[in-house]
Amino acid sequence: MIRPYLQPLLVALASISLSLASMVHAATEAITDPTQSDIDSPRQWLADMNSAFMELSYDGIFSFYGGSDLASLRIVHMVIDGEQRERLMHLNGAPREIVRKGEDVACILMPGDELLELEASIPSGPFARAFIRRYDQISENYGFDFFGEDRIAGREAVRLAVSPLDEDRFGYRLWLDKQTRLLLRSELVDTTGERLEIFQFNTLKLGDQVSADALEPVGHQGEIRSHLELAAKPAVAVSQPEIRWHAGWIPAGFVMAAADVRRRPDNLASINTMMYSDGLAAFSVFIENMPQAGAASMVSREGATVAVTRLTSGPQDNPYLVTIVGELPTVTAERIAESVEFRNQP
Amino acid sequence: MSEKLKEAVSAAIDDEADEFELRRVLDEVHKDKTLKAAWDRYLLVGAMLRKEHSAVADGLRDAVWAELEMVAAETEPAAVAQELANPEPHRGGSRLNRVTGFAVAASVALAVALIGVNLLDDTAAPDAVRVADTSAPQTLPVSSQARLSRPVTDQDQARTAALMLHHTQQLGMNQPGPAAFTKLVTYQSR
Repeated sequence: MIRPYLQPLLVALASISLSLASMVHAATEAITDPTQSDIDSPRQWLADMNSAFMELSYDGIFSFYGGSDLASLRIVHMVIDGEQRERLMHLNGAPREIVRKGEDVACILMPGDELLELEASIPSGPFARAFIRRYDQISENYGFDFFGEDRIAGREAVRLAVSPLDEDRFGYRLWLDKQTRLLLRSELVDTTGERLEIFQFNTLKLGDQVSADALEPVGHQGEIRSHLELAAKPAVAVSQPEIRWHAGWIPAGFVMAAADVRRRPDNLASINTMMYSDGLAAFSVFIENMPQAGAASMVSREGATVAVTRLTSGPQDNPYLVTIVGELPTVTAERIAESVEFRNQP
Repeated sequence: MSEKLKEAVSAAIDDEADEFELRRVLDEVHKDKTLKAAWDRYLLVGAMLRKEHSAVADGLRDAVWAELEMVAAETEPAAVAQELANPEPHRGGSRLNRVTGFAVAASVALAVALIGVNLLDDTAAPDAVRVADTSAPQTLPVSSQARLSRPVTDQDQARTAALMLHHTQQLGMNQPGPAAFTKLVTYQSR
């Protein structure tokens, strides 16, 4: 029972919360109103974010949580004489850096780094230019909603939710700089809303505050550089009829971005690779001969990235290994893996 | 590992551990790489000693299902109960699809990686689930009907890690922005 003298108070409280709600509503409307010009549409914000990444000068420290650990990194980016220049530094543990100058990307490591040994077993050859993740070319399988404003790294940010419309991909929450539309924070969330990856700038310098000196790697004694190459021409070898391996089922909205036959540096065994993207998420399909020592069917996950390996049969019923690697829900990756088959006819 | 835990692992493999003990052992094994290796060895030794491959695998299977049941009970009790009441193999779509959410799938993935029994393969009836031997790959009966697997080895882990990094590199080369090579630079083996 509500005592009579409390009633006016409750009415007053209710009206306050109502007016608050309508204020919030109005604020949201102002951003999401579809009658507004395209310049404020979510897709335009994403396209601008894409341009901001490539065109702006920025120098910042950011945190990255990738499912098991929290890392601190520094990124420096500039465009000099029309060429993309970038330097990415891991600030914890053994020094690791990525230095990019146009098409040339080098990974700088210290001797004994576990990445070195692993890199030696990575299928070799240049990487196809495929524009796998382009924030201005996102498939129709996502919905977009602004959800208020926030402050990140001392800067005003607009929050944008990118939600999957089915259960075959993850969602993203993005914090975009109001002034430049640069990404300040992002969260990758699974189908239950659990955060698998978090990226966030802690400090950020922009424009004239960024010095080209910061692009030069600091030499460490004994350091080792390994180079990654982009294929010189766009890899639209995609519809080649000789690609006889085929994924019978892929989630809606994914298209093949690159296909290639690569070799393992250690034993030169060939690996068929195909990469698919929906503009945000990407997955690779790897097909290789069963190794001499055999192999296990297995599923492993690191943050948002899952790897599913299963055994199948290929030409002349020989045993083959199919591995799906991508930022996908496990069941989706398993379903893709199940569907991969060899076609006797192209 | 402690003698007590060794005994517990052994009991679990011999299917003599009670559910609580099993839960504890699985938790311990999850945490420790050497325990995982020991688990695999125990499994093989147990199988060879008794030449009862399928019986051993069944014990393990029950162990995995017991764990699965516990995890799943916290998420979708009704669906899990129904699935467990109807354990016949399903054709087509995954049983896990309907039983579970992500947590359970991850738990099974761990269990499968751990024990090397391919539970994810619904076409494998209980008597088909067994520990594959390590003979030459040509003799492995690999077909769409019977996909046998063996315990996960360091080589398997290394191959998967390399392919994950390859994917990450390809993504990094083609993606604008600060996150592009972050996963490569922050890589660490577990």
